[in-house]
Amino acid sequence: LKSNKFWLLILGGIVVLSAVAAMLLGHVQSSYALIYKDNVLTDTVNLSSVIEPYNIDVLGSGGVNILKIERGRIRMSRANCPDRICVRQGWKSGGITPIVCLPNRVVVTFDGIGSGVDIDAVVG
Amino acid sequence: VVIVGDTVQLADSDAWIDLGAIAKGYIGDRLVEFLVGRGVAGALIDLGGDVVTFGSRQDGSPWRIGVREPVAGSSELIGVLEVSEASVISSGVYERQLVVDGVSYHHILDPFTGMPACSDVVSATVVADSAVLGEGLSTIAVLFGSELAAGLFERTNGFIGAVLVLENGDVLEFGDVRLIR
Repeated sequence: LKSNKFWLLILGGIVVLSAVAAMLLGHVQSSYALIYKDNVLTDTVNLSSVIEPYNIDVLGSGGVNILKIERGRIRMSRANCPDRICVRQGWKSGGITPIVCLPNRVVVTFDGIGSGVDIDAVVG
Repeated sequence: VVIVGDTVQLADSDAWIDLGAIAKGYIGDRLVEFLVGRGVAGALIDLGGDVVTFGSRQDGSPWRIGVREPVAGSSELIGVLEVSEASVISSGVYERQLVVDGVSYHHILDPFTGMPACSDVVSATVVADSAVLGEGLSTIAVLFGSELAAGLFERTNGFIGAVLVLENGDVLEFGDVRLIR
């Protein structure tokens, strides 16, 4: 009986540790943000490996855009374009829809797991 | 129904025509005409679930369109279609439902009964040379089922291909398209 208890404790410990590991590691999928200025790739960010949040200033042909980057996600935090549609797109972690600032010609696309790589659109 | 020249009128003043089944496609086709008229060489117009294309990607390869699995709220794909110069139009009964007393009613209505369509097709994705045609064929496939749709596809000018997902989970391919999985 004692031996059974011992193994149950060990098993329970493994289950708890696995759950914690899954929560910590499984939360952020590998996803790359590709930053383009005037149709030229200027930066590639591995969103899943970001530790401290930081900003990237992009001087596009039309003005200034500031990208805010955190672990697993990216957003256009400021832009001097007239409509700020890019800023209103908010945080993105991947997917097939890019962040686009048309006036300043700045585009952020995504590559990696769950990004729908090489798909132009989805129907259904 | 009163038909005078190219005008259609419903005699019953309480009835009206809902163009929901084809309006998006019609707008898509007019947008293509507009863009071609302005000298645009290629474009993909995403009408929110339906896609109209002309030309090809910048590198000359065909457009790649993902087909979503027919499950409400899902973003999983059942495969990818490669198309150029074509519209890819989907109809399905798995979104836009109304639940009354535990019974769900979807938005594609049978014109003969006024009730939601009841066929073996839960999702129809049609590739056609015009978006309006794609809208018509995909809606008919959901309304009247795979057997009738198969015959209609064969004898319709402008039909390119189709992918039907059936109630039992089977995926059928028609015409000149291959679903890349």
